[in-house]
Amino acid sequence: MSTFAGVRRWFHLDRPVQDEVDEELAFHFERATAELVARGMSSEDASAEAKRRFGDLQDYRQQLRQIDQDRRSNERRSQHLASFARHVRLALRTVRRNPGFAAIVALTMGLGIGINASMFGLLDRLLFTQPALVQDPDQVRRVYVTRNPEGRWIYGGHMTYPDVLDLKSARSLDGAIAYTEVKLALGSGESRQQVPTAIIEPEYFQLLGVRPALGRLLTAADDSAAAGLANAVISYGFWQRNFGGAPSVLGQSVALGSGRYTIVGVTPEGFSGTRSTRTDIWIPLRPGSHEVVSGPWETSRGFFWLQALARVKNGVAIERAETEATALHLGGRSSDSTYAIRQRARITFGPLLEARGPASGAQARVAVWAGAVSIAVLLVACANVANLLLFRAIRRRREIAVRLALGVSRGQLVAELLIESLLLAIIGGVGALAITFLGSGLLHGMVAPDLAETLPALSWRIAGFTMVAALGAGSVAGVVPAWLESRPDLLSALKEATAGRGGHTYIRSGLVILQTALSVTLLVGSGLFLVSLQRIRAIDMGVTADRVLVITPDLEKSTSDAERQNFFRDARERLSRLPGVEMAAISSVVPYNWSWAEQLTVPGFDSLPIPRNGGPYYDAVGTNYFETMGMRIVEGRGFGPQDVAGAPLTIVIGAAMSKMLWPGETAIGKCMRFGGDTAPCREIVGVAHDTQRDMGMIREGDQRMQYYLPLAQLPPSFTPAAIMLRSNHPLALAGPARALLMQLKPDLRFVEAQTFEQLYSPEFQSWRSGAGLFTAFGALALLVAAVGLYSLLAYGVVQRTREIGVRIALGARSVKVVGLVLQEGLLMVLAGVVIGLGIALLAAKSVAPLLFQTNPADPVVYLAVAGVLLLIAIIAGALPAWRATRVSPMTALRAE
Amino acid sequence: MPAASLDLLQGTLDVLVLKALIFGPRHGYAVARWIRETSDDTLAIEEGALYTALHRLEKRGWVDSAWGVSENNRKARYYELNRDGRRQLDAESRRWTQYAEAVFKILGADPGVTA
Repeated sequence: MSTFAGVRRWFHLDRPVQDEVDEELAFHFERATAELVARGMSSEDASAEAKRRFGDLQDYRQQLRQIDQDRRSNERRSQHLASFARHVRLALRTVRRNPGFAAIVALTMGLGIGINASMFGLLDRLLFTQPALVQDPDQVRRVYVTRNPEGRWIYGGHMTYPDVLDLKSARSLDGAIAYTEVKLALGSGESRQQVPTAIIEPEYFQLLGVRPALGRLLTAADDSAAAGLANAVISYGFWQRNFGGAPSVLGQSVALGSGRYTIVGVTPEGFSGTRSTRTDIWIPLRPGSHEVVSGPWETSRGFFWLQALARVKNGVAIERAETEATALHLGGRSSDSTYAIRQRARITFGPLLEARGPASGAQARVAVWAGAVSIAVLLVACANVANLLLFRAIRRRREIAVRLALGVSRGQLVAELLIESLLLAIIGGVGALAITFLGSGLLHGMVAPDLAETLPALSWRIAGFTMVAALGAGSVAGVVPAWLESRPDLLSALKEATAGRGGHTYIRSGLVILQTALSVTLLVGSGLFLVSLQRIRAIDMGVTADRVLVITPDLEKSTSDAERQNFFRDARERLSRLPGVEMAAISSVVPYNWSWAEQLTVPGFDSLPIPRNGGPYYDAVGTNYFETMGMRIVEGRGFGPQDVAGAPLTIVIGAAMSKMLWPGETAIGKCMRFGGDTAPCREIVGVAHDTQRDMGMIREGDQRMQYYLPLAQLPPSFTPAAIMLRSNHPLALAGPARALLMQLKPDLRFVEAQTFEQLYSPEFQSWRSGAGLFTAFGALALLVAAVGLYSLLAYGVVQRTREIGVRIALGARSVKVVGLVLQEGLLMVLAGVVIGLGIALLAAKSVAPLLFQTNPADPVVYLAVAGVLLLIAIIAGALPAWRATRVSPMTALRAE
Repeated sequence: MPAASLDLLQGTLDVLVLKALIFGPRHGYAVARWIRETSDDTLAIEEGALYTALHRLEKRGWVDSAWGVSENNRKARYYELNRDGRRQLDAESRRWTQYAEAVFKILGADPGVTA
């Protein structure tokens, strides 16, 4: 059978099917007719009889053709499959034969892809994954109040409650709700935890279209203040973690923040709120609830503390809904004459995914940049793998040439080489999965610490992405070497394999230049962010941040003002006697956490010049506050024991405020009325050095109007909130201070104790992320590029052994030989540096908004990076150059 | 023709064609003539149907074909049973014999035996 089949395949496979069928049938009729004639029929009768016996000729012919056609395509398919399997086996064998090479390639690929997979996980969450289980998430919009004062667009994500009420009547909306997110303390003492909580209008769940997994979700009935204990809904994850998934959770009462709540329901698995960060508990926003602000927020248009969501009706254009909402918004504020920017204010409906909305923060931008950077790293890795593959292919030239000569087709060779690089890429992909699994947490923590805990290290989407990226990278890295090395210039290949320079040096040099250029770009990025970070560190915060411990005790909501006053007075007293405490002071404000503002009039001014960021703001503080915080008093004095009730009323103002109100003259002795025109005059007794409280303001160079009041001269309703301790080792005091306060007031829920430095360090996050990312990725790219350069130069030396040997024999000195080798490497790196600096210069423009008081074209950074690269080039070239000087003329010449 | 008898006919045709090839490679005309002569012309099978059976068997991998030279020196397409084909023929013939025996038993049965 096989002989038959074999013969057939060799000679007839490509004949058209219809010819074969026709020929076969022709033979049949010829024989049939001939036999009938031999039996004595006339040839006409014989022909007719043969046709009769055969049946419908046209029909059968058609059937036969069809069958043969099908058979052939089946055969072709299985042939392809077989040859693919053969290629894979071959590639596997090659990989096994050289495991070191495979390991390097797989590691390079794995790193490049792993970084990308981690970044993909993050970006996917930030930009592409709608919150789970929300019905028609595209119809749910975030509400922004867009204003344009001073020609600058501001997208305000925060609104007042009456502003949200205005939107509820919009006919183009299926509802609008207000909510806010806070971290509330759950439990007390050591078991206390901060739980991400959303305070919502009960229609929240209905608007999102979420159904409960257990119990019920909040409804309009939960809105009433008279309902006694407030109800709460918890997330599925929280239920599992804290209650072991027990159904008995329903009806349980929990102490949360300053209240108690009854759990009435559990949200479905996977639902964790409407943001990229997780929400665990939902409690109703009720007229009586003061979890975040105290004051008449239900009716006042002064409390900008709520966010809003709206569901746009199906079929209504977003723009139309915005127009209607804007009209309602302005209508609601028409009586408010202070809403001066009304004319330019409008409502914008952004997507539910915050990072894609108009007010996306630095985090989203840093994440997008990190994504771009990780792609650059992958490119470097690909270039390196291509280089390695090319290097190997060159060594296999003779084998390839022989096989080409034996008639192996070029396509087959390309397929083989490509399959090999794909195989390596798949191995790399598996490595990448491991790297992603292990390294994601680190990377996510660097770029988006608040998301890190909820981001899975691996998911099917990420695994899918990894494998697609691996195959893509494998093809990119494999196709060039495969194509080049299968070029059928046999003779030269056979010759070159034994003598002279290895081919494709220009391509390999190109790859090294590409790698250099990309690492230069990344390193410039890292330099710019490092400079930013340094500038930030150098900012005069106005306080000695590393020496101040900020203690915020969490008192029961029911504590009266007088009790509070007493507690803080006693607490300060006791704490100041703790060993190691130099000084202690109380304050109504925790800088960086919140600010207070109150009407302030100054005789001589019709109205105060209010800076862009609002204000003026005040801190009500106790004795020794400035000394404890390390705030310099520029002029006059701070508050002392003499500033008590009954004594002359005093006030201290910030230097910036002083300069704004009385440029060129002293503020000391001037009068200010805290609380409005009718309030008594307070004499300015001191001017304090400004403190920095807002990175955004510092960046914009905005001034803050800040003043300070002595707590002792204010009514008891101005209660202290924090105690500041000054010490050389503030963190060591956290434990003793906490214990002391708990002893002083056993019903204290919790005591927060942080250094001032810890308090504001989250503000630096985006710069730290940028610096960390670019530095890590840049160093990685640099390493890869250095290895690439080294391998190229080392290979060059081996290839040029004879030339170098001859030169040495002719009397070339070592210096000359070293120069010969280094020159090549330096030229490549120089080209790469120039290109890289060019790319960096272009890219830096768009990264500029993320920098901090740093010139995106800072020449120092660029020069430093260029210097580093050249140094690396010399190091990478040193070993090959040294080897070149060791070439013995005799062996070099004999080698041929 | 009713569908049931067509199926039977097809299955039957396959067995007949496989059997025709058991003696060695043959071209289509030889297969047709052998079946006609061996059955004393009682099976009125269209020869076209025999060809489709041959091609179908080839597609299913029980028969190989190749072009060769006939007795009278003409190019002809020869079919040969391969190993799978032989196995198939064995199985099919056994099935057919059982089937035929069962039918015979019923046709030759004594009416008194059944209760």
